[in-house]
Amino acid sequence: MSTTDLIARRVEDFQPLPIVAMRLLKLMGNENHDARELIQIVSLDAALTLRVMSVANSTAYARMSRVTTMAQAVSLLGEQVVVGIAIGASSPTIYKNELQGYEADVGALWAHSLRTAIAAKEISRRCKTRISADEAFTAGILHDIGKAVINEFLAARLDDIETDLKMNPNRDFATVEREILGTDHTEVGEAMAKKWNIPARLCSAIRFHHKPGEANLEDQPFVYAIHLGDFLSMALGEGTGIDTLVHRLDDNYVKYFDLTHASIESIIAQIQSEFADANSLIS
Amino acid sequence: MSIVYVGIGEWAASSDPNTKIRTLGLGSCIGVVAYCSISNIGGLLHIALPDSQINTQRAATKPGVFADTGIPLFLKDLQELGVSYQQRLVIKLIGGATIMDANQVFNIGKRNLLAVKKILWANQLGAIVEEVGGQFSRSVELDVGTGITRINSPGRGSWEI
Repeated sequence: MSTTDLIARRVEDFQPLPIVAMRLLKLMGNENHDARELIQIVSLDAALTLRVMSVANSTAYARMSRVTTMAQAVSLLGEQVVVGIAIGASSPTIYKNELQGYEADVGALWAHSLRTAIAAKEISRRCKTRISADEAFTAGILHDIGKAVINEFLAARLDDIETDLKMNPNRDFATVEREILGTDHTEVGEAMAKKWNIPARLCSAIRFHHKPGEANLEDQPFVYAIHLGDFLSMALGEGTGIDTLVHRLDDNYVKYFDLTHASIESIIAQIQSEFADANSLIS
Repeated sequence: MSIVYVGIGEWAASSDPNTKIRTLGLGSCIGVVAYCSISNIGGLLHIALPDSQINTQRAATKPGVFADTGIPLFLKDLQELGVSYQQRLVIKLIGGATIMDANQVFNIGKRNLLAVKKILWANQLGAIVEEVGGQFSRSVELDVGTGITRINSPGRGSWEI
């Protein structure tokens, strides 16, 4: 059986997202859903309720008065942020394992995903067309899920990867993955997301976050936001080990975003404080 | 041996020979190592942005985020520990990874490096080693007892500068 077949089988066998996360994603797929339904789903899960309340009361979302009800928390954080927290908090098999194939520590994927989510949310506000900042947050949480599956296959070839990177320091890591495994974390992530019936635009962000120009034209502004959020997260030191910054920035982002030195530095100053605060959400 | 971790926008300075000061994951950020081999006093600062004017509120609460507000305070702490920095301080710069962007917006590492050098020059200081640029992240550790500075990068191993 080829490596790509083994990976495909691993995707098939991969533990599905927990029921609460699946129910929330399904609900979000329905544009006419009722916010009360979301509150109800979250409230049924005690651990998740605690997590959402602690985020709502963290300094990143500091308010004059304490958030005490789930309705207040959802209204403050936005529905998609709550969904993102639900996915991250309830999926330890994706986010909490060590990524040996990337030489990344336990929890690095969650730390990177959460920071990409925060950065994508901020950058999406600078888009020339209107895209959902909340949805960008969720896409940031999900964008690298494929790494959880291909990690062990990369781990077996780590010596070859290190040699390759030493010889060619400016390579694109997704291309390295593809050459070694016949696939990469974006393609595998998309397969996982499709199997879980995750909404199409989120699947597109997972698939094209390193090549946003190849996404459907209508999804491109959204996918570029995740692409740029991913870069900001890596630039601020939160990557997933060996592939940190070993990717190409697609400078066609200018079609969709008005960004200058000053605006990008302003975004960094802002998300850097949210990143610091996010540490309390990771544990 | 105690290890002190320095986060983004933070610094640490020490005269304890049994201390190592470490910062993790320098991407476009700059790690400034300063060490006096006469007094064996040293420190490490983790800068994220060149200029505090971009967010003066943030600079007030976390001055180490910016080169212009962080470096003077870092040097002041070293001086208070007993460093005669203008004569003896050895400076090493680490990080400032390159993000290739034809629009010159995301090349924050380069702007950080220029700003750090400018502020150092204004304080009559210059780096003797620059472990900067490239498309990868670096972690740094300063051994206060010896002044040895080690870099670590996933997939690229560990080396001394």
